[in-house]
Amino acid sequence: MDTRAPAVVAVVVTTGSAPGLEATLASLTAQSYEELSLLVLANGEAENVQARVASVAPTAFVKILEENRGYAAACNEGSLMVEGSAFFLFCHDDVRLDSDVVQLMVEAAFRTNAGVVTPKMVAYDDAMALQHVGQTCDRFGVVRERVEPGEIDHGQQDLERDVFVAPGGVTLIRSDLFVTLRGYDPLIPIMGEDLDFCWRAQSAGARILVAPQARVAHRETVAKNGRPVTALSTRGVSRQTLQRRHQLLVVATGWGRGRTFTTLLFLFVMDGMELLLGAIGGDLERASAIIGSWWWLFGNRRRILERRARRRDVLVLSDDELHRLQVGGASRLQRFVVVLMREGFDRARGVLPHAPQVVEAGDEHDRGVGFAAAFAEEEECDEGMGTLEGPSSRPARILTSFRSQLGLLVAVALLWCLGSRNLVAMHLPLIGRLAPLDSWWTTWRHFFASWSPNGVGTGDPGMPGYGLLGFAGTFVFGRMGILPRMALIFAVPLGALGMSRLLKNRVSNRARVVGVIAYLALPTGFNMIAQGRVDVLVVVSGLPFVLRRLFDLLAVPGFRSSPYPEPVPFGHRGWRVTEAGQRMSLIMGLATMSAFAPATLVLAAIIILGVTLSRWIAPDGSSGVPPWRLLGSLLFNVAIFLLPMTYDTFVAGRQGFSLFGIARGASSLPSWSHLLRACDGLFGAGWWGWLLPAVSLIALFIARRERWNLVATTSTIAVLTLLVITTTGHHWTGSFSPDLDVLLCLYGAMVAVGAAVAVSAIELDLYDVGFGWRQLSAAVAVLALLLASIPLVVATGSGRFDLPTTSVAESLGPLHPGGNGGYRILWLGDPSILPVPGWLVAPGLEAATTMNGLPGGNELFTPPGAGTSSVIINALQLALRGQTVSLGELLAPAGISAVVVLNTSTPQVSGPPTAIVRPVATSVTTALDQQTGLALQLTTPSVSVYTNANYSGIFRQVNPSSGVPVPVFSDFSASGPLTPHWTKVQAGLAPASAFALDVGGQPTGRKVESGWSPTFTVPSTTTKWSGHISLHQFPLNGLLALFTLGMWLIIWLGFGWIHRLEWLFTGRRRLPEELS
Amino acid sequence: MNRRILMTAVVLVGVATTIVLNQWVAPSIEQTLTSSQPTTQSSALYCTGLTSAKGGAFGEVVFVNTSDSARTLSTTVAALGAHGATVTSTMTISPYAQSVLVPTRVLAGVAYAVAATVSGGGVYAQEVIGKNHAEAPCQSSGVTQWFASGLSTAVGSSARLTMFNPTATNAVFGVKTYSSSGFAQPAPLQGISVPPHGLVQVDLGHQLVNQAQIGAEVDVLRGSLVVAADQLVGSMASINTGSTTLATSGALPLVPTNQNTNATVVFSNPSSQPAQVTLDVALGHFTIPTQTIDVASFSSTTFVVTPNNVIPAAGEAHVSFTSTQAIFTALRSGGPKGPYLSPTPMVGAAWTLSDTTGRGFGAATVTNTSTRATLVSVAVNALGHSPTTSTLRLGAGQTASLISFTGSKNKLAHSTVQVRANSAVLVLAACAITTPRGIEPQSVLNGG
Repeated sequence: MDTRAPAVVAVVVTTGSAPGLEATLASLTAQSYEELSLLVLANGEAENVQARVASVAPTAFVKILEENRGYAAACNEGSLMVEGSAFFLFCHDDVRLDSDVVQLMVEAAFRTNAGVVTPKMVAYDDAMALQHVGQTCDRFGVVRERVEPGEIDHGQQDLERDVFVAPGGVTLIRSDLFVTLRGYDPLIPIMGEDLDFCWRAQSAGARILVAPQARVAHRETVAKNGRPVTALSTRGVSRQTLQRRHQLLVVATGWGRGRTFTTLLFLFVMDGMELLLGAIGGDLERASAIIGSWWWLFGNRRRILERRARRRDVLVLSDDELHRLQVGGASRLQRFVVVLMREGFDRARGVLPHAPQVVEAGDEHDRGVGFAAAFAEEEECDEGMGTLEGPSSRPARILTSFRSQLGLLVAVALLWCLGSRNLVAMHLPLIGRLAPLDSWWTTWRHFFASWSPNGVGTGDPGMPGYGLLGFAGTFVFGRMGILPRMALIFAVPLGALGMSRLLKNRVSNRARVVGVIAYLALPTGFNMIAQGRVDVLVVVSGLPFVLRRLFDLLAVPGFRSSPYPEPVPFGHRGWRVTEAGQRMSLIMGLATMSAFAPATLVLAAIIILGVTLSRWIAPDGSSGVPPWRLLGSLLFNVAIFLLPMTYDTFVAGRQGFSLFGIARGASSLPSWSHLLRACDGLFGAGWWGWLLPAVSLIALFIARRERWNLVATTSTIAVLTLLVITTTGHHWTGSFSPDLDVLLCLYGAMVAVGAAVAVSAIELDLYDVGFGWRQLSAAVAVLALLLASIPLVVATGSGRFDLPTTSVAESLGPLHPGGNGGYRILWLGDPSILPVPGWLVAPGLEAATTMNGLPGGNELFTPPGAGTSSVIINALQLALRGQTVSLGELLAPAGISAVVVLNTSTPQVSGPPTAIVRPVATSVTTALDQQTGLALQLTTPSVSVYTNANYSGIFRQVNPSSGVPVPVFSDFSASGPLTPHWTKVQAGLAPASAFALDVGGQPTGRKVESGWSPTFTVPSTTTKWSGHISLHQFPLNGLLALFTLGMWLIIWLGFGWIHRLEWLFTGRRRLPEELS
Repeated sequence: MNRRILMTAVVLVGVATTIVLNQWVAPSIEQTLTSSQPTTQSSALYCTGLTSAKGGAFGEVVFVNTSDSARTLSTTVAALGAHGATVTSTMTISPYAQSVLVPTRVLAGVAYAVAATVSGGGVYAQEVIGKNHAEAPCQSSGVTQWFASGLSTAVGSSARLTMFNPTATNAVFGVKTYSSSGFAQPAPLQGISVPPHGLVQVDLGHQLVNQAQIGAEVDVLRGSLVVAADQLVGSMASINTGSTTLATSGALPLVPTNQNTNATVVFSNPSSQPAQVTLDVALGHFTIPTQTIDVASFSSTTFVVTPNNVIPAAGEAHVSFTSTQAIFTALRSGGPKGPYLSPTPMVGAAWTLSDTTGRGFGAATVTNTSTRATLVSVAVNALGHSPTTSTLRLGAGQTASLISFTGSKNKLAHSTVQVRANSAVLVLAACAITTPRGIEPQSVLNGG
């Protein structure tokens, strides 16, 4: 009798060794369904397929595909080989079907008119453990299981029902549907082809059903990494990347236009957050998978359009109808949050927790609380279900759970966002180092320039800070104005993040959180924001990272318990974590910070000296690299990285010490009480400023073991820093006077570490000692820590951390003297007040010049040596000593039209002080008042402005009859008409040898007057010539800058990029095995 | 445990050291810059107070070059009543030489100011009134506050303040007075503007009529001014260059006590509290009891030294005083023809005394006002000749005669004397050769 059972062709795709192939074929041949044919497709490099198939299923047809283009392509190939079948049964080569699976699935298909049927999938080794009973997904293409992992089958899932996704393994598909949908998409060779097909089937109105009576065991060797993915287009690509790619593809082509846009937008934001978390957590694989998937999507946009067009051809369900078949929300995000709350950040990121520490004999059990401990077995013990031996006390429960710690950090982060809300868009005042930056291109030009306008001009190499600014500007697409805002807003939080990494694995997580908040609450950061000192903020942000590496290299107890990995060739992956790589990372970090604040090098020396001294006083038995060799190596290498600055420093001679900072006046030095509170400004001057240093000091008394070693080291460094500040501030070290605020950064960091160690000591070191002063001091420390956070809240009130909204410099009336010729402004004031860096006149008095107006982007950095500009410094010193009354005359050759004396950077208003006031000594204004050529134009408590009656322009032509110079040319152009018969043209530009005057296209003779100023002899003629002064200088500075850039690039390549970019040169892509 | 204690001790000692070291005050700008050897690039001298002959204080400005190099002076003469006109000229002074400038020969006006820019240092100047040889030193800079006592607008007397603006800044000033009738701040004398390089004269008699002892205070609200007070009593004219600070103590080394002389010390108290002034008079071998006077707040009071029953007539007395409040003083000394008015000598580290009239000095003394002995360098040069230098050791509070010390037979006529100590402890005083003696004080130039 002829059967009316529809024909089913089982297509088995096998790849590689396929150890379960025989079992798969055997289960298929044992099916009770009669009209079942078997087609085996060997994908690419399958081994001995024909013989193996013949041994189990001799009637099966075997086709060997030459290339492994993936499961999807193989299935499509198989479907083309078959005609007349009603169903396709696509199978993996690691499944085992019950004998009635095909029968039940076909019946279910007919009964429900389903287009796709999926069986109940169970574990290969345990038929009672459910794997899949169909799947669902959300709008973002994230598949969600309908069963819990390891769920035992008690028949609870044995109802036939519609599902959204039929997972791969064994899938029954109606042939006509398969053909209509053009099969699987070969663009998805593996991992996601089931989702994609089912999505399209759903869109086309087909039902997808789970037939739970049909049971299939699936080994899932590919999904569980039991076998490598070897399809052609997947080589060198991780599973995570594949999965993300294909999900993106499905989402990009599975919705209508509007929903596609919104879904992709949401997905972009979520992936961005995940990317950030991955970057923070060092999960580079995840980060590269995210970036790679979006890049892949962008690269396949044509295919996307084709798929969308095909979708429109078969579309039956609307987006809303389709969405109703899915689960709501974002599954991945939900899962992340749930796991995060329950199991911690590492588990949520997918990183396994650390291996449990080995407890040495005689050591106390570390009761430090961590992420896992929050919900560990001890919780049950809390409920009295168990007994504990030994001391019955345990750490206090406050701030022990990950949830509470995360909540506190989130609250602090929100507080910081609130406190910096106005910094995003407010006008940045001209104080500190907030002079407006030039454009991206111009900033790079400053780095390569052969001449810079500092003082009366200098041919010294451009400072490396310009190069770093230009580099940073690249990442903000040339919007240079964003950079200072980013520094103001993110520098301190970034430093807090560094503090977290510094303390990681050294103290408990609770103590880490305290250390982070302590670093945020330090006065240093707030004061530097309020004073616009973005150069010091760079140090605030980078110092903890530098500290960590230095402590590692010096083997400070607790920082490097295991040796560095074996050396790896330069440029290869893994070089970064070797000792050489870590050292180079440290050097690059130091160089970056030193480019903006050279006093950072002094910090490195203090840290190394402090560790050495601490080890000498209290030996800890550990030994890292020899400290002096390390210091010498650091200084030498940083000097190479900052070669232009190094050159400037050596050329400056004795003045080279001013690279690190300029001596402050006696009145602007913080008092000892301010120093101990790390306070150099308005924030932190109250009684609460004592709290954190007090807590740090308490740590020294109560900490024990490795915690004591750490706090002893940090205390030594802190004390050394204070002594350096004191001696240099009082000018006992001559011209060596490193920036006091940079030094305070180090002191503050040590205080924050001390605070964290205090918490850790309270947790661990008080239990086995009798009640006494230690416990009392611990209580004081806890109270102090609570109170110390209050000023942090108060500081957020203004929304800009009290950064002023205006500045004295900007509020001055037009300083333009009128007329032509260009002009310079001479700025005088305390080094901590001036909005432009300059040179030392006397302790507490700095002089700087700006050309043609207020400070700008070309005066951000000043070489340490004044060079020719010493003429201005010497003239000022003469006036201050009372040895001249002709200061105006002495300044006139430099084209100085006005002298501005600043007492504060911000206009003073009545009420509480809003800015620091550091007035210059009265002898300065007295001396200026006595100058015959200076007229006092304006005097307020904030500023005094003198105009120079002898001013005659930077470019001037001398009237031969009167001898009086007259300005020529314009402010911004060194060219213009000259007066006939006036044969002398002067220029207030140095060095004289670098400039030439062309008149009517002909060069003119040049000599030097006043020891530095070029004077040109113009032919006496009645013709009204036009003159042009140009710079003629061999581009040595540019070559030096190029060399420096090259150095940075080469070293950057050393961090594995040579290895990664090798394919650019060899054209050979590395296989996954080679890459791993 | 030991290392723990050691480390803790080190940290605490380090913190304590920081605290202790921070008690030291870092050197100031003035200390830093003046510590190095100076080479003056240019200096300035400003003289005001001279008038036309009609004004009663007609005279000349004498420039004294105490350096070993010639100096070029660019002098600018400004005059009140010259409609803003100024005359600039150049002169060169040979080493150790003098040069004279008569303002009235250069520019016609009512009152004069002379500004000189010198191509280097070591040049001093003084004004000399022609008819009675009253002298007043020229200043090297303007001031923002100025005090002068002993002025009088009594019948037959006139007191005028001359303000000269040496800078390019428009200056503004106001005047306060303290007299026996009390405090006055006349509205017409407030907010007066002095243009750059211009001068203004104020007649106190227009606001304070018939007042015998007036102390004047000039507050410069903007810029700086060179101020001098012209005091005319009959035919006698004096230029009082006043002082820039108040003091709670002072000394008048050469106060005449002889017959037919008169000497009055005028005290002006600008504070809100009354001042009790204690005077010690040292005169030869005589023991004179300490005198005490009270100066009411915001007023002026006099102490008559000569004639005084308590003080014998025996030459020049050394009068020193202390006050419970900061005050300013002047000495009115004179003979039958009328008084000379001179401010209280200031204490300094270096002084110059130069004979510009060729008459020499009746007395010239140097006093050490400190409580410790000090070595004083004394350099004497005759006009046009290099100086000879010797060292004088002065005990605490000791006064020495420069004429005796130098052994000058011609009473230092046509000579210049420079005295210098390591610190500001010296008071130099001199008087001309007159009959009676000691009534005509000579100006002392600030040597640095």
